[in-house]
Amino acid sequence: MNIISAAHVVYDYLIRDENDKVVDKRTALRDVSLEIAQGSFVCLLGHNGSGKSTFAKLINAMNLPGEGTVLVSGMDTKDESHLLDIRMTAGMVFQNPDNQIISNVVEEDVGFGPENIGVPEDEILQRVDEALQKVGMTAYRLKSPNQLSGGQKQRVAIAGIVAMRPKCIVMDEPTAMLDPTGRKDVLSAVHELNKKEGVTVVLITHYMEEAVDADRVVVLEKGEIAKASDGSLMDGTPREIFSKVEDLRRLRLSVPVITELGYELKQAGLPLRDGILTRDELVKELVRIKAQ
Amino acid sequence: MSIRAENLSYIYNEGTVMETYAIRDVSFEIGDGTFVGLIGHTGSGKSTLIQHLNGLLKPSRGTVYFNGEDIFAEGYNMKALRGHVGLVFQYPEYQLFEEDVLTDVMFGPKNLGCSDDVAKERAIRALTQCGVDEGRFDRSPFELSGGYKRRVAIAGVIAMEPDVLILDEPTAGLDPHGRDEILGMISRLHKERKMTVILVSHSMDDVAEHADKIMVLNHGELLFYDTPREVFKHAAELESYGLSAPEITYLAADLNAAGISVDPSMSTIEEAKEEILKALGR
Repeated sequence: MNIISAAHVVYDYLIRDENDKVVDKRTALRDVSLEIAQGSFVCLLGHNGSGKSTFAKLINAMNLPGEGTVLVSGMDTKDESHLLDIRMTAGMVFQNPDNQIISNVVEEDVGFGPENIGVPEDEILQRVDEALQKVGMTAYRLKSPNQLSGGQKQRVAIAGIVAMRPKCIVMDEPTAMLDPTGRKDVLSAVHELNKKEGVTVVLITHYMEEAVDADRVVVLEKGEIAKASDGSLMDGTPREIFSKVEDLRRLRLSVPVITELGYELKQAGLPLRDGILTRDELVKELVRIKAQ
Repeated sequence: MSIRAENLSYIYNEGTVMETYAIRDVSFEIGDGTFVGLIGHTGSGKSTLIQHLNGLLKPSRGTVYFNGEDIFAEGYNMKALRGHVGLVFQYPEYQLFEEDVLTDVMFGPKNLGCSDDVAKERAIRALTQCGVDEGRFDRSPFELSGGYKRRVAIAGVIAMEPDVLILDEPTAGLDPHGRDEILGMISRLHKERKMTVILVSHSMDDVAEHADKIMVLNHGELLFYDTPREVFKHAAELESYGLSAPEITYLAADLNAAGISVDPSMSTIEEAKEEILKALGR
């Protein structure tokens, strides 16, 4: 079943003059159709300005499509009577954790969402417990968010979304401001949620390494799903997408370091297969070649 | 144009129960024309440290010498120092403010006392070096894309023609191509203008590729200050401090364990390619 289905979506940013008159428009999305299966882990890639964030905001009705429709669990985002249900189905996490934390105590921050929708107090506490545990932040329950590192703050922000028990979490560059450990911790928390709880994850990132473990990678370019040089859509498994090294470079993206090394070695004449994603795979391939 | 820090400490709330060291007893010397990568986990003191190097922060203990002169001594010409040591903050595009790109970049040199003509000449040179073409000079900096805004902001510092350029995570938030462009540009400035560069980064791969020396901070203390090769030998230790070695260095360990012998301290794709081809007898 598809939790998100976008059909022929167009989105324009309107540029207004001092009198609020529309003087120009910039098209951010032109005719995007994308279905995302319930329980899947999907990575959206694309260079700055390709339309990734605009698309993310369509999923929880922060942006409404100019043309086309976006359905979230079958609900049309343009139908205002569904707004609350849509926001409870699809939660969002943004780049800067400091902009998403509102309370002085971690547990209060995590409980803010459920409290806001009228969840009874006992259940709020239970949800906070669960949410903190799922992101590995239980030990920090009574701390002030000020005392946390960037990665920890971001995990608190995620817990705040988890406490709303959404079916889908949309994350717009959640690791851009974090150090390597912070990035690793946030990603493993998100993968756990996806695997154990079956939460659908839509992850937007500029770090190619983070896309390696996704079920599916979609590349956006100029507000559309990008096309490879052979005309196919850049929408597939990480292995399929990262095999297209030349296409990704043309799209101002890159491939994971190990994939790039594999590509370079192949160019130098080693009989490696395409789209090697991990160190393990590369080592196995090289051992195989050495034995020949 | 050397920079030398001597027993530098920066202490918040000194003398109270809340006393915290942001920087603790750090000493180092950065020679002329060196490219230094400064790494450390969030909160390790990187940003605090670099703000001492052009006198924005005054140390609680110790001092900094620029070309042998104590920059915190009475009567030292701080303004001149800021012309020599340029600092590019995180997300520098938030500091753009002028109506057009060229005027924005001219602000720095004018502030140093340059005439309009000289400032303009320097601004044009800096913008060109940063890869901003003439067609964008009279546009509003706010209309530009994120990558170009970042370049204009960096050009604003380059136009002051500093001998030392310090950049705090200049590639944060950019796409991979944007990252390569900015790093390539910095690397060119370093080579062509013999500029000393201090690059604060979270990316071990980037630092491995560009830096002559790596400085590692942990909780305000200087852990390592050595060539990338030497520093990345301590991969396990780096991890215990919330950092990591470049992916390629881990690959070296895996390959050696699997019986393909390569240099254990390789850290870039280029080095790895050579080592692997050599090990396989190609």
